[in-house]
Amino acid sequence: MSLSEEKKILLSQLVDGELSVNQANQVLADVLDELTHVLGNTEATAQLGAMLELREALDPWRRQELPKTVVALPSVHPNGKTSHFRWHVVSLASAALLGGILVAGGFVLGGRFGTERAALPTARQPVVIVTPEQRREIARAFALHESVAGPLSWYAADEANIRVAPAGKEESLRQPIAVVLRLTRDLSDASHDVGPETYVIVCRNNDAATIELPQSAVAKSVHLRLLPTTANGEVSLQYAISTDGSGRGPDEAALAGRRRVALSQTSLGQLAVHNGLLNVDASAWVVKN
Amino acid sequence: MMETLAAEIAGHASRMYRVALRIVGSMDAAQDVAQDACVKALRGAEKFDGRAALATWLHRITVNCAHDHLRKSRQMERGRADWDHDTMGMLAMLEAGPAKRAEQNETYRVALTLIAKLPDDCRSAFMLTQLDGYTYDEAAAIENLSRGTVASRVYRARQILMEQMNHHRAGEVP
Repeated sequence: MSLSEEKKILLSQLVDGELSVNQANQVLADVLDELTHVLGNTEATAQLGAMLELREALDPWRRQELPKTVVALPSVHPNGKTSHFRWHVVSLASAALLGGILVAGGFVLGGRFGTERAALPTARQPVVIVTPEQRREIARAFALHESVAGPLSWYAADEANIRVAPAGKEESLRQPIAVVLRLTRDLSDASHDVGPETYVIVCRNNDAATIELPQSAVAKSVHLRLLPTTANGEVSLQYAISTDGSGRGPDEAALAGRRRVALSQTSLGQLAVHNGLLNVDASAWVVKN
Repeated sequence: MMETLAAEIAGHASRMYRVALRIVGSMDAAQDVAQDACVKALRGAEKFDGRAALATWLHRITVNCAHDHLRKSRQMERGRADWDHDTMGMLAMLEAGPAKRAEQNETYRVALTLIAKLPDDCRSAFMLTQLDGYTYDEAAAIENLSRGTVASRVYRARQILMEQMNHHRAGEVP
């Protein structure tokens, strides 16, 4: 029986130590099978066979990979603004970065944001409620970033970017408030089948945060000014939001107002962008340690 | 500097996770432990003594984080008296229910159970190299032993396991 070219190449790599342990062991097991067939079971073949078998038996344990974790580290943004960090996200398990997963600083929130939906007869879209687990994840993400970078004035994350701003001593004592902001193309605008953009923001009670959100498929750039205040656990959000639209003309739209915002999505209004409408919704709550 | 270190830590993350898993015995908890260990490593980067191998340093941080986790969750006190802390999670996972995953075949389950009963010295070397995925050199640095001693202990553990698995197949209680 002649040896296939493929097997010969594997043997060649084996003697050079160029195969992974599992590949090498598979080649050895194949050779061992042939030897045993011809020579019978010798002490050496029995030992090697048992060792290979034990090694293979433990392979499932060695295959266990960190399921879904990222860690972020800061560096100064290329634009040189010292008050504005750009965070690089280093994947510790690339398989975890599945579509639709929201990176929230050290933690990846599973899948679609919000799983509890309450139907409204005339709603443009289902109402999304932030789950307790998501609130915990966001609190942990914020704490994680503060543990690495020091007190933060605000923290903003989307699927691919995390931005933070350092807090002064006085700011750092103020209660953190989480805001989940969703920008959605209006459904009546059927020409644009673009999913919602979700941003997780943590800012401070009674401290205005000015944030430039990264460019997305929904809007070219969005500028936010949020001033959350809390009383008796309720959050009131004062906001000014503008977008540059396509940049092809006087497209910049803006909306401003003040709303009481809770865990279920509250509409902050609509922005007119160059070829449609953008719904802006928010949920907010006080972050508890 | 930080980016380089983070990238290097990222390369060790799955091994850190496996170490945590065999100690804490839950995938979620092991993930938290690995995450905490990564953050502690990044925060303590200035404490990293370059003379120690990165693997050794990260392993120590991971084991400490895992033990902290067990202490906080009081599992150490609840753990079975005949279970060592370093294999408590592994055995707990095996006992958690009938083969939760397809790959948890009989050989796998028997092998893990027998590993927990190995003599301390050779068990540690065997787990580091065969379960966690450290090289002999890394295991030697972690255990503060020579490479030859690690090789010898892994060999001894393997011999014991093979013999006991034969007993098991023959229907004898090892």
